[in-house]
Amino acid sequence: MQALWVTLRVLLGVFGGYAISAASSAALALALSEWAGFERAESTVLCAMLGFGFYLFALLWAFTTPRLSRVALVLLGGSLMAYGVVRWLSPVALSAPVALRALVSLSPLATSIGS
Amino acid sequence: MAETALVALAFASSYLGFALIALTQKPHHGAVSASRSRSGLPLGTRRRGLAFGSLALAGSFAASLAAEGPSFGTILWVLCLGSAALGVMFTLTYRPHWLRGVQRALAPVTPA
Amino acid sequence: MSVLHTWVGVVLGAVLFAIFWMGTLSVFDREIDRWMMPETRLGPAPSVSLDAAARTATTLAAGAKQWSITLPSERTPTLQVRYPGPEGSVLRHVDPATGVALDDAGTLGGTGFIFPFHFTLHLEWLDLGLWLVGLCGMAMLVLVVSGVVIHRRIFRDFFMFRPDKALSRSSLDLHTGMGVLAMPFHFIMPLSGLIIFFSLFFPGTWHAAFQGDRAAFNRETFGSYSRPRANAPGTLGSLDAMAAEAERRWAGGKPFMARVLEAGDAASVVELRRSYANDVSMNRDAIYFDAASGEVLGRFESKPVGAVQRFIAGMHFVQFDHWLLRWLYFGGGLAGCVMIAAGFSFWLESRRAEHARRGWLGVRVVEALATGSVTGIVLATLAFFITNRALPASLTLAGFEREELEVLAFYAVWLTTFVHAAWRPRAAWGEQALAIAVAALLAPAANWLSTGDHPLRALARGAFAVAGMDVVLLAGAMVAAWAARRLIARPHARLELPALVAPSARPAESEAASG
Repeated sequence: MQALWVTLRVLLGVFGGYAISAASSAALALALSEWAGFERAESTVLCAMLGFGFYLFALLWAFTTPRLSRVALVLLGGSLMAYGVVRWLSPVALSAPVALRALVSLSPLATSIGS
Repeated sequence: MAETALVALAFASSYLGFALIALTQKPHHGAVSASRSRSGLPLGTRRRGLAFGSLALAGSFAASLAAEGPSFGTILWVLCLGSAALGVMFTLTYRPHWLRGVQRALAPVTPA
Repeated sequence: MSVLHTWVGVVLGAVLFAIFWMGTLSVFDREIDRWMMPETRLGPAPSVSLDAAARTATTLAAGAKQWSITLPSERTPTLQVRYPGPEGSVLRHVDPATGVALDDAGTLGGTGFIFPFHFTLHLEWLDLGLWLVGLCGMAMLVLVVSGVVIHRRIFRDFFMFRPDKALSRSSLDLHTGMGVLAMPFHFIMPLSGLIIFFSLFFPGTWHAAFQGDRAAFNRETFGSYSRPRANAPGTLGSLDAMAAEAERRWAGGKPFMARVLEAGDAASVVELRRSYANDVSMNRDAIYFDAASGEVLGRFESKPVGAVQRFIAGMHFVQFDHWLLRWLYFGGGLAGCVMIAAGFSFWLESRRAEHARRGWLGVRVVEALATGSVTGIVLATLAFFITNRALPASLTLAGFEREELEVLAFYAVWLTTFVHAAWRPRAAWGEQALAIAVAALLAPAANWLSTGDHPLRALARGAFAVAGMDVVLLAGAMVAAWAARRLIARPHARLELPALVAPSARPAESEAASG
């Protein structure tokens, strides 16, 4: 039984933490470029880099918070909220079919490494 | 040539700095010295060791910057610190008597 | 935090070691290439004319829509021509002195096998390997933070290493020592590695900011100038003249690579990229020229935040010319490998008695996995090197190309080490260490037999990469032999060196150890 709860926490931490980091960084990238006058490329790079820090924090938090229900609520709820912000700010960005397709066919999104 | 000398200085300074800091700690002080002192170094000596040790580490940073410039110099210093600390660790483990000279400079031996 | 650190370490330690090991080797991937591709062991290249190189390239890449030439450097003395082929990208090495293309080396080498293994684990389907490495990168950050939190006596034990104590104690000392003393490295490397792939791991950011316009994202973040084809024949002007113009605009910065897009077309574009041999930052600076006239069409430089990303990426890639730093990075990577291995050793030794008593399988399973993933992958890598020198130059066996046979040898040996570890639980570590020692002696010997190069001769003729690799292999053989002796002679081995520690230091040492 214990193993089940641990597995659930791991799944929530890894996937929920990623979801909230990805959604929040997308929302921030959009907000910075639309409202704060950041150039789009700059905003993108900055928010993606911050996303890793946010994810680290989310992971540490998810694995050290006693109550699993709180982990679920914050991570999943936060992801939905951040995603909502993205969709509200821009009807085009990250629409569900695009997001899903992007997740499945990841290689075309990668730009060449190095030179 | 000057660059090589500065880099060598950076490494030597890091090593010395960590050696000084390590010697302020009771187990390492005991390992190096012949004395059987159980109470470790007096507070004043420990503070002096930490101060000079930190100064040496800072000096190592300065030497790195002077040799390599800001970006390479910082990276070099961080890696230099790591290797120097590792060097001190292995010296203390396998050849502690090599640091007797440093210890004598830090705390001249007084009759127990 | 302690439970988190232990579980993440034990579950992902095997993959983490593979990433660390391949990453450590990748620091010298080009040197490994010289060793594995003897035809490329050329002397320092004379100054190369881009126009002469272009003539070779147009011959090799005849019909290709684009091609690129990368100028020789200290670490890669050949001119490299790349162009798309029927089965993917083709890379040809050209002797810069003669302009003659070298024969296909028949090996993937360091840059083709070891380096991609580091960040993809060669699991290409749906980029799963890349995402797993990404997860491990995040896990490594979690491990460093949790490690610091649980190692409360971090300053007290900063220099502590007690090899004369029980294996679990000395393993823990080694684990924390390697972890703490190289901690900036162990934190910055995974973080910078993740940041390299920011657009892959967080695609939402560019999708949101650019409203899904991927072309615009590539253009504004990485350059990527393009213009439509004219569908009319065109000529290629003087690349040397373009290079001179680029150098002028870059205030002395030299081009290291030239890429021709829409080759042969009237609207062909030449892209020159600026060298980063003397910078930490891997710049994306590019100048775009009209191929026929040499007129400057555009120029790209990263903006401030983009430049930060390039600097962080550069810290990870280590593509700059700096031998001391390169060796220090290599040392840092090795420290990480030792840290992971010592972590496994600690976990196993501290739980061995209890698991045996309770009849749990944990220790047995982890030990088999750990052995295969630590000594196993090292042995597999050596098998890869030996096979490279043992196989004849061009070979096809049972439908496998030569380069595939080398990779097959790697995986076959690796699999065998897991089987061996499962079959001979406690003894496997020591036996595989012995096998490593033997293999690490065989590899330079195979090099000598197949190419005539041994360390002294290589040094004499300036092939430093080859000499360096042979020397590292020999040093590794000595370390492995020492480890094997310790582990085989006494399974409950301690890491002390009784014959070498001076007697006078001993009483103080045990006092220190108990202090």
